[in-house]
Amino acid sequence: MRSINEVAGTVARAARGAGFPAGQAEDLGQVAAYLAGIRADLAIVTAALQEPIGTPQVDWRQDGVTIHKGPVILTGPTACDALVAGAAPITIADIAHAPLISAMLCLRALTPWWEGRVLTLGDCEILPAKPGPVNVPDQDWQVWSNLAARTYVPESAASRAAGAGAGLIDND
Amino acid sequence: MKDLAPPPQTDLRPPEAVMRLRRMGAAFPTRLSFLRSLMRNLGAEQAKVTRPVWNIDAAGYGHAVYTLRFGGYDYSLVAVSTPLDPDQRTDRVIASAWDSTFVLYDGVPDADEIVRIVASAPMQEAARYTPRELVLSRANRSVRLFDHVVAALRAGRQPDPDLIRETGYLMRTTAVYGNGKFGIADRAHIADRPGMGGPFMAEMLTVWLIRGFTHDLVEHVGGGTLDRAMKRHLGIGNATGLGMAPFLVYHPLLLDAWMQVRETALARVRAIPALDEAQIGRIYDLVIRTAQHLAEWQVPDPVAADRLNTLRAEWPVFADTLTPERLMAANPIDQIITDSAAYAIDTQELIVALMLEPFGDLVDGLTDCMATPFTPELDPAMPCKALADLIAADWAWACQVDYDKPEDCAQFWYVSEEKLEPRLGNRHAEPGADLESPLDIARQVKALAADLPADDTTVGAFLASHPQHRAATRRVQTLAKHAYAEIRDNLICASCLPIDLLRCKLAFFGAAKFDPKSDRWTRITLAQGAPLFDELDQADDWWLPVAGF
Repeated sequence: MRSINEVAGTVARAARGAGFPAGQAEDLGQVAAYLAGIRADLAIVTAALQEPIGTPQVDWRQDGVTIHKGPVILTGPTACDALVAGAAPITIADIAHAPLISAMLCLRALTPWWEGRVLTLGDCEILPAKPGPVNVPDQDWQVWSNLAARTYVPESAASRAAGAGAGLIDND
Repeated sequence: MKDLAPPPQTDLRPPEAVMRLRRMGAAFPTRLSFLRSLMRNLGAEQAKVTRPVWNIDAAGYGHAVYTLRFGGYDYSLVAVSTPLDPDQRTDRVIASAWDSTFVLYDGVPDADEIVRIVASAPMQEAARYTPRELVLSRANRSVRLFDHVVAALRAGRQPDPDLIRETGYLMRTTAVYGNGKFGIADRAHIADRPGMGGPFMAEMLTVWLIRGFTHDLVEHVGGGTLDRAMKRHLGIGNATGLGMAPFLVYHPLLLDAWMQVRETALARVRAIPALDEAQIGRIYDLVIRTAQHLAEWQVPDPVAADRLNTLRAEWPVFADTLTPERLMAANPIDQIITDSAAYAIDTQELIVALMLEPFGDLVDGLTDCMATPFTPELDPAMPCKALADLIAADWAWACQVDYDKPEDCAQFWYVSEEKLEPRLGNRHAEPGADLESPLDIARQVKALAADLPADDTTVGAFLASHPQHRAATRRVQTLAKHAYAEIRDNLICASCLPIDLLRCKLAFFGAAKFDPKSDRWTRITLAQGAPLFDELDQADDWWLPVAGF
């Protein structure tokens, strides 16, 4: 079992380890925490982390936004931004991204309405997140941990002595 | 129904001054600090601490359980004391064994739960925990003082008062983990409970209970009873390093809430039109107490010692200005704070902390605003030119830095692979900068400013094509609504001292006797002078404690 805070922290680090920018990594950590809090399937987070990072192709007009391509960790926040900014409807290229985008919207206290690949605002109920612990399947946790580990810096003798700055032994 | 108007207040001190690292690093505990709030709340409830389990042998090893009921819930400290080879006794978070380990348990543990905790707590990070555990901690003895007190008690006498004053604690905690670490309960699990809603309340309760355990342990091993005044002067030490430094950066709304509360409290006190005789007397008492506290505060670190010496030199000068005429004049505290600009920053901040102390009725209620359930949000509808205006208005301190200059990007924050703890490296001498943690907020905002069109493009549209600026955009928009949310300094420059971040946060905890061991870790004393378990009816007069023996 994992705490919600462990989920949020590990996923955010994993997103940075996968190469995503800090802002989207923060967002993904929060959305993973929300999904964990409503006991949803976390596999969509894992799948998102494993998408290749390509430059998103987005056509943003004030009367509608079309997301032609790009990983959902980058395009999901864009879709949410567009809805909040009133640039609806949003058309996405990959329908597999819909669940994570929906969760991202719920985090902003908004709900989605999907008609195929077209997203507008809905008015359904937002499930409230509950505290942990939560069960995170090993295969998901392993992916997250491995990606998070890409952000860790191995310690050297120099960094151990200087990085934390403390003395080594202390019996005073 | 009639609305209650808030008390009058002056303008708040500007964030451009308050949120500089040097000033944050001069912070002192105040009556708004978390430990003080906790003690007041425990005292108001007349909470009773009991010790249902004391399974400690003559050498001081075994386990104990302390229990109290607070806000309608039971909480228990399970303390485990184990032998420790002296060559394993280190303040570093990378240690793997400790003299004592602790768990704050949600409820009262039964025998099976105690067995489980006694087996797991000594492993600390190497074990996994359950949501019944709220806080995980460990501590090492201050060997010199602990052994001295034991020897004195065994000889039938009290310990040397000078040694008690010099060290001030029997054990030092080296980590106090909460909020879901290693599987323990998330903060959300207890955040709505009475008394537990404030920041770090579970952690503060834990350290206060640990402090009581250290008193019991030394008396048990020494076979005698410590003088009550000495016991009260024995707080709980703590060694804190870089692990806690990024917290203030990663929690901008919380930082803003803490600072807003302190600055609002100060603004209320500055608005007091006139002081009565009792208030003036209280200020005089506190000025005298402060002088004694400064005299008892020992700091070997030369930089810190210099600063302390300045404080000691300036304090009597400041005290001399507090004539009865001045304190009986109009708006006396506002004038005192204004005039304090003549002193060093440390002295200025000490005066601020002192001036809050006599006015609990006016400021204590503000502590209800120190926690926030909110997280920063991005406004994608904002035009880019409005965002650019915000940067121009609030971020000049960040944008005027040349981050290509070696000294202005000299350091990088990272997470160590070995302990998963934050560290700070030298960008020009150590590997790992490519894995830098995003604490370079100022540099991020300057990069955002460089790419930002000054037109009506919405922020959302801009970020769709510049996703790398999302974090910085959110910081800029957050600061516009939360003026104290940002540390207004370059956190990667050569002159950035992490100790300033640590001290700010620790002062909000209620720490005193800062004893820096370098620019990146410090020892402190918590709960020194705080009520003992049976003194919660005297819960609120221990700001800057002094030895009463």
